[in-house]
Amino acid sequence: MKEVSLEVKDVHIVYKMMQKFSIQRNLIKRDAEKAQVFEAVRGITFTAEKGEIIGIIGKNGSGKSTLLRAIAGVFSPNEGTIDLKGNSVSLLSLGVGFKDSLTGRENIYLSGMLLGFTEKEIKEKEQAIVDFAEIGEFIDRPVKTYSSGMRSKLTFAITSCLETDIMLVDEVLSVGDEHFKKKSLARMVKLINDDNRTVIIVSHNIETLEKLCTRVMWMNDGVIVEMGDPHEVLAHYKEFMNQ
Amino acid sequence: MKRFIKEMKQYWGFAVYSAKCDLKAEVANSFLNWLWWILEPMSSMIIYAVVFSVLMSSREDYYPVFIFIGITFWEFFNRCTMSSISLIRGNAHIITKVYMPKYILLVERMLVLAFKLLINLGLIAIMLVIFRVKIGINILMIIPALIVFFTFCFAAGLLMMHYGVYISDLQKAMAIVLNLGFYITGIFYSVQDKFPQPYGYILQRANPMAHLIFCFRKCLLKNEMPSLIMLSVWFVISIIIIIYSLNQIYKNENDYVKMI
Repeated sequence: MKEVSLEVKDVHIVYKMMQKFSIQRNLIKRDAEKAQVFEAVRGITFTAEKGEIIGIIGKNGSGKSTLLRAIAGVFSPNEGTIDLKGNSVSLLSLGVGFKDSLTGRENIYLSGMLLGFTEKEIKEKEQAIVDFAEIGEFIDRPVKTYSSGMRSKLTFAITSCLETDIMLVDEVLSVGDEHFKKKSLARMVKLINDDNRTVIIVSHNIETLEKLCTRVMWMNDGVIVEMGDPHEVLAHYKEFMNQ
Repeated sequence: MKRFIKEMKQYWGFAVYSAKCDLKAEVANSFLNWLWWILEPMSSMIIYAVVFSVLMSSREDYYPVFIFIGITFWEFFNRCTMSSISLIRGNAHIITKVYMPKYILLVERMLVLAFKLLINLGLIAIMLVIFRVKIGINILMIIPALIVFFTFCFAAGLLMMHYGVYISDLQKAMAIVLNLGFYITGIFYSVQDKFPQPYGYILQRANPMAHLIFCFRKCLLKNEMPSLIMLSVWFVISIIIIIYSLNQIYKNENDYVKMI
């Protein structure tokens, strides 16, 4: 048995659909609207071992991205615990938090610092990121001038070069043109083959998951339907979706 | 509070770097831009000085400097509170991707504004020389006054930042409140002298901005010691607001991401 790197225990995440309070609306009529509660994740339990690569699949709105965000620490679960065992974690998803008026290079530093790297550590990786992103001289231009492809390429470059122990990947494996797609897939495989890294991928692409993952988790309406061998789970999922 | 200090240390580098980049980006947009940091307060000072000394025949010693001090600090406070209302929503793309203590956004904003304030302080120093204001040892009292000023602005910013997430029209309401504040804070007149007593005395001390600006003028223009008691009162009040807001923010920051 390998070392456990991530332990998710009975996690529930609740969205309160609160109507936004407005001074004006409250002055005109006093309607105390009850907040609607929507439970996106309802009791998920699993553990991930070091070096494992877990795929999450499920139809839209089944709570996959919410779970991933909770693991990344964007918000904490309403119930249950997520234990990262002291590992660093990063969330790689479409359109990372860039500041539009700043240049790509400055955004590399800002994103890196938010992920917990020091300025010096980022400086060492800077060239690798710039090279990998392949956006040429645009790196020194404000991000708002980027095309959406360039944005995603830079995003992918930053998160894949600034390596964290646990990487969460949300639907980004189809970034950029054919050339970059191949390159990023190769990169993922390389990152995945590192025995010390745990990767969790959310994707709708069955072939990618089948190729990359050691285990697949199928989520539906906030609960795990099945988890285990990729071929089996994905076959069941396909069957379910074709119904 | 312990958590606050720990996180502050951890994210300080980010805030400073981010503020630096923001300032650089502002300059990069046009080559005249850094000049605007000087031109903007200068021109409003000239407008007020002309309007009020010629039309309303206001009498204050060193009137242009008097106004300039008021504008400098009021603008900082005004921008700080107004921008903090939309701070969380405006940075949605960042805080939905990675965890960060939300008040770091306010710290970053304040650093940007503080840099501009520093330029203005430099201008004030130049003006003090030009107008041959007698400067004495009491000018050092600007340091405790500045500390109270920043603490108060941080407190106000935190409060606005938290409620700005939940109240959609807070920005409009605050615009009105701050507009009123601008006129009763005594940017171009002295609150203490213009209102009939005892209201002038009370308005001066009950309004933290009016009192702080009064203190700045006192130690810069008159070489007098500002009242340390009132300063400490406002310092303590600010600290209480900060602690309250931080607790609110820690308790609710989970929901911020889901709200926006």
